[in-house]
Amino acid sequence: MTGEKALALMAHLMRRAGFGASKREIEARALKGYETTVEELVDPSSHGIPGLHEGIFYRHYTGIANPGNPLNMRGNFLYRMINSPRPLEEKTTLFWHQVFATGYSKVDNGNELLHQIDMFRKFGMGSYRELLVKLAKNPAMIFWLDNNENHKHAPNENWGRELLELFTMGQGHYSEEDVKECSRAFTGWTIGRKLPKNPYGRFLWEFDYRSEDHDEGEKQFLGHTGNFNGEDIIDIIVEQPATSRFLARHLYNFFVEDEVQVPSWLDIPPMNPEAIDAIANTLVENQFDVRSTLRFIFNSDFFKDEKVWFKRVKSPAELIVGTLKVVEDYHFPKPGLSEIAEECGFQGQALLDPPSVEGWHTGKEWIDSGALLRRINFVADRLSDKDLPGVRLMVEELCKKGDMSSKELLDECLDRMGILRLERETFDELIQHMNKSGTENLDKTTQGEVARADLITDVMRLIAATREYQFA
Amino acid sequence: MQAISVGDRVYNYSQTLGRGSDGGIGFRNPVDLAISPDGIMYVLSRASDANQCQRVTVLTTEEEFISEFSGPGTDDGQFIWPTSIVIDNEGMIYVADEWLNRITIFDNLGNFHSKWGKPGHEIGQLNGPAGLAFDSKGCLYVSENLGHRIQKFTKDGEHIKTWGNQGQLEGELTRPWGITVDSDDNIYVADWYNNRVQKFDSDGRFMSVFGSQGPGLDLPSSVAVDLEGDVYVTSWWNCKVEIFRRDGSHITTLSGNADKLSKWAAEFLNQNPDYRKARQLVKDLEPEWAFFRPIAIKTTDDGRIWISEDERWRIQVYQKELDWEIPILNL
Repeated sequence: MTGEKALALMAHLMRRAGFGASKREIEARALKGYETTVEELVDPSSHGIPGLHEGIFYRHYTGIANPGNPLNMRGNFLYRMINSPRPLEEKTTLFWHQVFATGYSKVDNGNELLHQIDMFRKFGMGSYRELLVKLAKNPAMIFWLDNNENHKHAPNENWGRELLELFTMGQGHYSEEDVKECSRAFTGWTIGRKLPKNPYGRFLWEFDYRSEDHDEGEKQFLGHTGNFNGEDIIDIIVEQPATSRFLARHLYNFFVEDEVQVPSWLDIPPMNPEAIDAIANTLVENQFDVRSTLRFIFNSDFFKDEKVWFKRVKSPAELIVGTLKVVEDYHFPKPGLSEIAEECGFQGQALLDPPSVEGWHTGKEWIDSGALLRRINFVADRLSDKDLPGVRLMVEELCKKGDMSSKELLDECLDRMGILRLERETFDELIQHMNKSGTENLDKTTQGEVARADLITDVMRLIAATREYQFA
Repeated sequence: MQAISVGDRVYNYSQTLGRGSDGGIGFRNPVDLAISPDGIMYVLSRASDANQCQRVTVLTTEEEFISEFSGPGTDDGQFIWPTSIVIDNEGMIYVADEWLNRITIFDNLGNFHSKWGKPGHEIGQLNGPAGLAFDSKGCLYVSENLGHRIQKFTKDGEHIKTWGNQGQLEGELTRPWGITVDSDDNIYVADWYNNRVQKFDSDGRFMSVFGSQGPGLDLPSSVAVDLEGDVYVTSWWNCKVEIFRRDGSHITTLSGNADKLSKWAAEFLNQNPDYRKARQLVKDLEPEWAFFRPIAIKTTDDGRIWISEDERWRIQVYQKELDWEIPILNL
């Protein structure tokens, strides 16, 4: 594949395996080649790609490493999404956050929630089985799903139930008895006594295994019998075909194409059952290694197929981060990060504070009339701000090109906003709108650079409202 | 009382001051502090992006709250990203702001007096002022985070001298932060990104380097020199304070010893019994003793060492035993 098609495919990859990329980055990656780029994305360490320089980040944003305020906590995550040299690592972190949704509304400890996010960052592309064990021991999760209240003589089934229903197998593949037995196996998995948040701020909580509070009795779980502890339960879960299919569908939903909401998965078959089978098989063949599975997905025909391009509604985080990358805002610390974090919440995704353990409803449910307006306005405001480096550069480059027809100008803007491809109908509508606004011949009658620059940003704002920009 | 004894030096943990708060009693991300000769402390809270409570808290060294001044904003006397605070020989207070690229001057009651500084890369302009220090002649040295250089001004902002450029060689700097001047008017700069402290003479000539001996420095943010010439450095990223002799040899490492609550923290716990009870249930309070991002360090002539912690909202104080001699072993 060469030329325009290769660039368009690379843009698709970067929208899915990252948060979008500038035309320059897409061109540079296309030069390296698709498979090489996939390798760099799935295994950045082996390619010598460093993570974010946390020192520079924390030097400027005091208080964001150990946040008492949830906006600092969200800003911390968002800044990394914008600036991490490892976009897939950050995207996978977001994926796990959406699957293993844990919320500030109850945990009330930004430091601990960021610690969980960091766990996803460090281990999210490794073994799913290991990640589940770490999750079961994660203090924020223990507190969120009440496993600290799960005692030998008074079990609490919250964690056990969600582990099966939302984190591994999905409804319909286990019984109520399995939930009870699973919960018994996790008794004694709790949090150590912790220092309170005042007067000196939060201290990290610690996992504490209390053998005296663990139910040592025999358990029967998914057809297995034994004196199971938590890790045994996870081993049995990972062996179930339902688990690989459940995770496969999650991966497909997040990286390939919007599926229906998770609670409907029992009743509604996948969009692409063959792809789900292939992903599930890859998981099993690779001992649930997420990195190998992502490599398989990005190199697969079903991922590269143009039919799935622009078939995922961007989550608010993806939309905001992608836009800030295009306009090159917050590429270095500057005041106001908490306002960006707040905007993400206004658009319906208050990071680290999902509405429930079920996480956010995704796909078309990201968009209602209020959210759509906010999404469009946010993007349009950034794209019309000529003080932002990315906008300034795009305007300068396009101004240098001199007179252009409406079609040429629209094509150029679409390229610079991440090599977007509009459907014919949308494209024609935009041209029509540009012509109606008298923009077709504006260059020939322009009174100078300002009018030309305004025209360019007007076109970019129009693009911001298209389905293709709002989708990934 | 915990004591750190090494060779001919003893550092006794003395006290802790402060607690977290967005106003009034307490600090929020105290990035720097200054202590006047009469024992009045000025603690500069940078706050966070979401907790807009930048301010200067005025207190005695015995932790008696006196007042606070300034606040978040761009108006005269306000801050966005304050970095450093110093007092001149007339008691006027100078605060640097690395976002607004200006130096703001207050009287000792906290009333706005004046400001100077223009943003830019040119000589005499300010490009991310990060550290401030006065010499004995009343000249003000400014280290620049983004300019990678040191500039010397009169206290009214007239430019005198500039040195340094981005790099790793002797005399070069990368994102310098804290700066101090010793009794001989030599200048010490926390060369943050290069993990070292560089010593210059008053004309900006490189003299020596600190940090190559001992466990090393990890993004040092602040430096202080005591009357005996010992050099103290906050190794911000790994949460240590490293102490060196004037020849650069390493003396010891402080990790934090706050086993005694500050007066304000104790008051808080007395007023909030739930917090007090929660602490009583904790098996081990030792994690609370350790530094968490020690960011600024000062010494006073009485041998005390003052260390503010960005993420713990407090100041730990050590007392160096002056003129200490090793006792004979068979006592």
